[in-house]
Amino acid sequence: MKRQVLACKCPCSGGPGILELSEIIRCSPASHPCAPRRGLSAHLPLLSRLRFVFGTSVVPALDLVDRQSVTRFVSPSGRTVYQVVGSSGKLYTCYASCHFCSCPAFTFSVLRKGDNLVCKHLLAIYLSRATGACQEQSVSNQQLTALLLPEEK
Amino acid sequence: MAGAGAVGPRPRPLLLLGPTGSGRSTLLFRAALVGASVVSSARVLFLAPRPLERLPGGKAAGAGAIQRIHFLYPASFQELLQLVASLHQTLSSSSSMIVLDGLEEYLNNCSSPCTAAQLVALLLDTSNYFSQKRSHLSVGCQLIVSMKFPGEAGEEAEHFSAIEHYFPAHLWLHPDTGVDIGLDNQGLTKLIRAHLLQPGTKDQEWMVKFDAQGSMTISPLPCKNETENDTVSGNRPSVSEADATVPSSQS
Repeated sequence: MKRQVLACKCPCSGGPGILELSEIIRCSPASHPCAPRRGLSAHLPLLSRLRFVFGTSVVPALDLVDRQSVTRFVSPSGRTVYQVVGSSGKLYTCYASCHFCSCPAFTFSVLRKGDNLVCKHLLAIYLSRATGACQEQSVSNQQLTALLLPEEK
Repeated sequence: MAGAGAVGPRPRPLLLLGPTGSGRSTLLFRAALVGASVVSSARVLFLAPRPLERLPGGKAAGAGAIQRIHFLYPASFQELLQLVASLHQTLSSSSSMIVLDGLEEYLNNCSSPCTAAQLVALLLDTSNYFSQKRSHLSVGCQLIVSMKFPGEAGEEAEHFSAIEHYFPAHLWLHPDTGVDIGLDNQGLTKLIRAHLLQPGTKDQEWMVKFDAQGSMTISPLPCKNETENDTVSGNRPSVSEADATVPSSQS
């Protein structure tokens, strides 16, 4: 599925396909109210649906959720930003309202080739929010500004 | 993104594209003035590499509109990033419009397509943040960015391809020769055809006329297949019939 297909339908300004992706995640197996009771296996068709849309990112993203790798930082100004600990332990910055991740896969596969909607870190944020597995941390306004900026090389 | 919370209507981010001399800065400034005139709570942030050479006066400026435009001139890509990232700390009131002129000049100092995308995503995330802060009001925060047509290959094209998807609406400016309407006879110095493309709505076109006194007139062109004027959804800046004394364009 091409990114543009979803982007075209998106009525909000949050970047490619934000609303559609939120809907898909809301209907995903992990966020289903019955999931804890019935186990994930009861929702395999839904997992397949998730895989159909997000491809091979789904399993690594669920793994990141399991490890509680997603942290949402909030400052007194109300500004938020996410950080995800990648599988190698590296920290990636993701913006709260539009699709951006500082990982190389986002640049290559989402921005350049356009063959994926999101990277596994962005997907992990959606899934973490949906399952309540997202860590929350308060920081100062100044610290939040620093988190929004690219890492200095 | 998930958990962003309910916000008011979010105007679509708009990318204004045109070649050198197509009046990008002039139109952008006009949009900022319109944006600043909508309601008294409007606050426009105008970002550019350098000040416009001449600001409009008289009726075009409106009584208080220009005072509601906050001009900032970050000199480099790094300064721009720093400024945008810290707006939540530094601005006392939420912006209703963020305008960036001359994106291509900033991208010249940008190391990679990823960093270019990060700048645009940061602008978008910031305008969404202001929309959320303004959710008690009827309109959110509009983002409008102008840039010169990128080349077809090389670094410019790579940067453009990384950022274009962040803008659902594109306004293309095409200089017109004016042969058909007799440019000289009407005292006009420049004619620009503006073509708005946004998914889910009909394309729209306007003719932008500049005369020797620096006045700008914008008039809608009929759709290719229809003659009536259709309105486009979203809160793009109004570019209906208008006269304005305009600043010298830097583009």
